[in-house]
Amino acid sequence: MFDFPETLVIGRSISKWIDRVVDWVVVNWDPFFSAINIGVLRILVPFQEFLQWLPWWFVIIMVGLLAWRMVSVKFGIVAAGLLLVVSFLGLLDLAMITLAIVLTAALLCVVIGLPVGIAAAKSNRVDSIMRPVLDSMQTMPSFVYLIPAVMLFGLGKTPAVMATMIYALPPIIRLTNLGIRQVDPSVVEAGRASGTTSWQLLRKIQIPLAMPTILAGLNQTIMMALAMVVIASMIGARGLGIEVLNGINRLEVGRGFLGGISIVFLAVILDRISQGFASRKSQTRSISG
Amino acid sequence: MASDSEKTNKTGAYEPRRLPKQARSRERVDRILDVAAQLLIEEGYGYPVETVEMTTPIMQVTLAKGEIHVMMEMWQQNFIEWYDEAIADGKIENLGMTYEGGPQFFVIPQWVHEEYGINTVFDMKDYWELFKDPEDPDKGYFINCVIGWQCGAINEVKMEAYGLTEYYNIISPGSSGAMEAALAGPQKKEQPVFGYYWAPTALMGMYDWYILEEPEYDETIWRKIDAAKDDTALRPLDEATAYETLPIDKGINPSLREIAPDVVAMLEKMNVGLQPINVTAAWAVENDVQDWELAAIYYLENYEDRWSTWVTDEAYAGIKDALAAQ
Repeated sequence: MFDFPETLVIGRSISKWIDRVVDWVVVNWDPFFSAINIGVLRILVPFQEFLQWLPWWFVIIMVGLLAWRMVSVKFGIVAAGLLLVVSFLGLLDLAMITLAIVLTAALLCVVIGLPVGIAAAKSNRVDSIMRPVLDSMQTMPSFVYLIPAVMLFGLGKTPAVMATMIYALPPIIRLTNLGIRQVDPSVVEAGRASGTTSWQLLRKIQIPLAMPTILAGLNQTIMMALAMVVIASMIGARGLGIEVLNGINRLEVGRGFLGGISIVFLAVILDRISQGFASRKSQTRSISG
Repeated sequence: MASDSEKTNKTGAYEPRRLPKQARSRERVDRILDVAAQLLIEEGYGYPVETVEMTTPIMQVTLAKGEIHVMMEMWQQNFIEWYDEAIADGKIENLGMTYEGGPQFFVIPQWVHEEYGINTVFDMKDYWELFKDPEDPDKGYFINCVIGWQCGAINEVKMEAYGLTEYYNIISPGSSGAMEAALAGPQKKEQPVFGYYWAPTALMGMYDWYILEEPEYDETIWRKIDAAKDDTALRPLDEATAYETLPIDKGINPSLREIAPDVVAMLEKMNVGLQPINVTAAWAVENDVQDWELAAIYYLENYEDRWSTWVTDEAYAGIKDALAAQ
């Protein structure tokens, strides 16, 4: 095979240029990123402190009740049981820290993802621009943006939430887009004919009808946020990820496994509850609507 | 000659587990030393030199057998039993220090030290507000070494003994890259930062750091720290000390004395200096130097006052000619 001519290779100069841009951003945009940092922490820190302040039995009972209401009596017992196991492992406190990070990231994903998803549903142009962006958010190896994130935000929760959002944002955008596009055109037409403004159409018809799909997106977003827990711990976010990293770095297989299995338990609980929430929503919709 | 870029040895002193992780920054230093020695030997004394990369256990075997002749950085603290035996049996020989050792320390930016007059670890108590932790504004933050490394627990014991845990949260990064970024980021932004690091590393050469004074290394106290790091019941200690700085030595196979006695004489004197190596490594990183020969040449061009004292007059002339031809 003939090699690509070396004189045409510009990879090195591009990477140097990127280095310079990152350096420039780190130095000159510091006030902007500090403001984001403070904003995220203002939500996350009180939330985490609240979760940690709750008595352990209260957390277990509330999660059990929620799982019962949202899923079934059986799963209510299972969910409480899983959390009890995590408590016996001595990891409930770390699990609460993880939960705070995951739910904060998911909340921010909803705040950003819903409008973007709606915009993509309304405009094919936005959709075609968003598609490759979302693809790269999901496939770009996270270590690539973790290190610049640490330079911008320092070690801790904010870069962890940011990295989690980059990975967990796409599903809610994609499924919001899909849900709204899938709304029966005749229903939309009927709405238009009865003289609704496009804002009313969106609020009263399209979003409610797309809700099951949007909630499925939320469920996926939460699950993907959980998948980033260990990565988030690599940049200083405490929580269950720390246990896994300790296990890996010290060759303490058991310790790593207990941390890992606790993440799995958390995932099972969050998955079933958010799924249950989604299907209840769509049921009440079909009954009342 | 061997370049020991991957230190896999798990026995020995109190820091062995950290060594494999250093590969990223340390590798550069290994290569600079090797190539510098290679240039001196080839250009000054006319012997052909080949450098080989290998892990510590393979280096031990091949050096003792005489399949390689020189090891620029032995780190024998990590395999001290084998080393003592091989020295006693005359299988290998120690030619003395390559540099003043790999020190580990607590650092702050130089300008913070100058502006606020912070000199010792104990002074840090009064200035925690400079290093405020955004997640917990009632305390400052200290960047510890990577989760799971031995130094992490040692630093915790030390921070506690110095009475600093009352004022600082200890934050542990999950990888060496994150640790470097956490220290480099504030330096770029000219913000205060307080953390643990070691040398010789590119990060130490790239920015101006001030090494906080600690009580001098003391073996009895160190043993207490070592015990307390594994047993939380022994904490908190009421005193702690600086890390011990161990010199990094050169090892040779004794057969080199017959093959090239003049090279042995040179190697015996070859102390490259910690700071020059830090500066060279940082220069290599900043200028994105991929070719180790360039970094070694940078060292030789800038630290002639050092290497000129190691070599014979004849060798000096040859090396100068070679450098001029570059």
